[in-house]
Amino acid sequence: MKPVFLTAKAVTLKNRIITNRAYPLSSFTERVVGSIFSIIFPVFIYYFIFNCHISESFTKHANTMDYLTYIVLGQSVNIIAVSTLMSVGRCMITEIREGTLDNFLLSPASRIGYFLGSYVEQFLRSMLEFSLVLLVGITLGARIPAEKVPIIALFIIFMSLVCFCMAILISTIMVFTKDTYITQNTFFLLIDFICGVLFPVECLPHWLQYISQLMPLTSALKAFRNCILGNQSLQDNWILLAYSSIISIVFLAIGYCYFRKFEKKLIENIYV
Amino acid sequence: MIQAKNLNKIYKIKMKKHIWNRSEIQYKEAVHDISMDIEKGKIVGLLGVNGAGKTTTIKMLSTMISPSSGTIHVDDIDAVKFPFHAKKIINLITGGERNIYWRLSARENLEYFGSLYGLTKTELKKRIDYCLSIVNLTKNADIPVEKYSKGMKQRLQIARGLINNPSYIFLDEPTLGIDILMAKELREYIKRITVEENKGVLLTTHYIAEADELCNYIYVINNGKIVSEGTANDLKKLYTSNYCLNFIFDCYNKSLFDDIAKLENIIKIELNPELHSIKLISKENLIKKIIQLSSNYKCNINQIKTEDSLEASLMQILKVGNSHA
Repeated sequence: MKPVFLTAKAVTLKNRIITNRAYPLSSFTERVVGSIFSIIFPVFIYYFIFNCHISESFTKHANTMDYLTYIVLGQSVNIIAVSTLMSVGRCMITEIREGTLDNFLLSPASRIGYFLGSYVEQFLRSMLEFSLVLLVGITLGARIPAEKVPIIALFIIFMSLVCFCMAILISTIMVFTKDTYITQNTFFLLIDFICGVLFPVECLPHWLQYISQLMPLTSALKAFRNCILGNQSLQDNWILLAYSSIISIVFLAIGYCYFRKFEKKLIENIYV
Repeated sequence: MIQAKNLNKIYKIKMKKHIWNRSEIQYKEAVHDISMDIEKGKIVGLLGVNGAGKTTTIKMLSTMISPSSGTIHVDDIDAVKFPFHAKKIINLITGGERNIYWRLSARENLEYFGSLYGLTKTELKKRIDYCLSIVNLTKNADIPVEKYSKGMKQRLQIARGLINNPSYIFLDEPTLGIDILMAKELREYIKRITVEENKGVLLTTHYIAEADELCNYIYVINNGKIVSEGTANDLKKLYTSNYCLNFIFDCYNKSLFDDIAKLENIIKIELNPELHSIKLISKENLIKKIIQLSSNYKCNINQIKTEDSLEASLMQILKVGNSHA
């Protein structure tokens, strides 16, 4: 087996055992409950305050009048983003805090294999969280046609990889700044606010729309909704998907290169 | 052989008085012009007080941090340019309880760390069984580390450091926190693998007796510089202006012990009322004065031992080093 996969496998197993022993249900339950509430809150506003009326501008930009399905799809993707960023983004800073980073950096193990291992470990869990949130959304009235399930599966894998690329950059920022909460919560806020999770990006001021295009999740989420709500095909959205892929690769490359650059400084900063 | 030449390490430290102040950059020279050789089959000691630069040196040699200047060659591999090649044949064992995963068992920890070195499943199994048996953890291999005692955690650190069967092992205070029996076994093991398995070992320790017993060659480091080097015997001969004396009395007399402790020119003294003994390092030969004092207090001396102590030599070396600094 190639070193990158050997490292990834070892990290996956290690993280799985630690997660199962440390907090078998709590983190999973917390994220699912949080996401369910994040659906319920706008849905209740939609039903009881706006009386199921949506503005024309929303219909125009979202290409749908079905706000409920729109928000359920957005929040379902958001839970994948949160799960991936929490696991992959925080993996290195957690090793630093627990004092276990030295032995990893001492070894010749593949660094990208380490991140991949963290990603794989949380993948199934985030899929389960995604499915649960989607099911709750359907129960509340979201309309997801059964024939769209294969395309949803494809998109979920794609968006999970997009989030992985973002997580590498976030991990490096966390390691560099030695901060978890400000970095992580700023990214969560950016994803919620400018990536089109709750409302179309076009509703934002122009300057924020430009910034939103720097996030690979924005175009991926737009393509996802186009395919599920707008009855478009993958081919119709190839530009959005290609753009998202390119930005993701840029995130990955910058994050990984800077991590390798900081690697030795990291140990120095711990010892000084 | 590991050959380090003219190693220097300057840390850049950013200091901020308050969050709103601009960072002030300070430079701290942790290691200055250190050169050393670590041959296979030999144990090399690196001795010095806290903050002398031992850990920085060991971190540079183990490729964890880059030197500011100088070269490190590990079996002809340029470890500064190609650290990943060198990492495969070295490992570092540190003292203390961190650096291992407390939620995992010893076996799971070793499986993880072994995989990081690219060991296959069959190799891992063999190696894990071997390493666990060496540190006497086979019976407790499947218990989560959080339930281990301090000594057991330290023994697991040692097993982890041996998992990739390294050609060179860096031991950073390896016996810190483990009991005397285990420490003795470990010292014997270090001696055995060094000779039988032809491994090169660099040892840093605060236990001078440990260095005296194990090391073929010793570097003494102070303020980031090597202030002396040689075999333990060389160092003792070079710096024996101090006297190391051991007295055992037939009884414990507090006043006598207090008076001895007040004598001039004592550098270090250890009083043991239970064993009625005193061990001291002094600048002058105090035998006459102590015999006089003991007769004043009508306390007989059962035994007097003088020895060339590496500790006494080391203190002398460091004293000379500090006076030149």
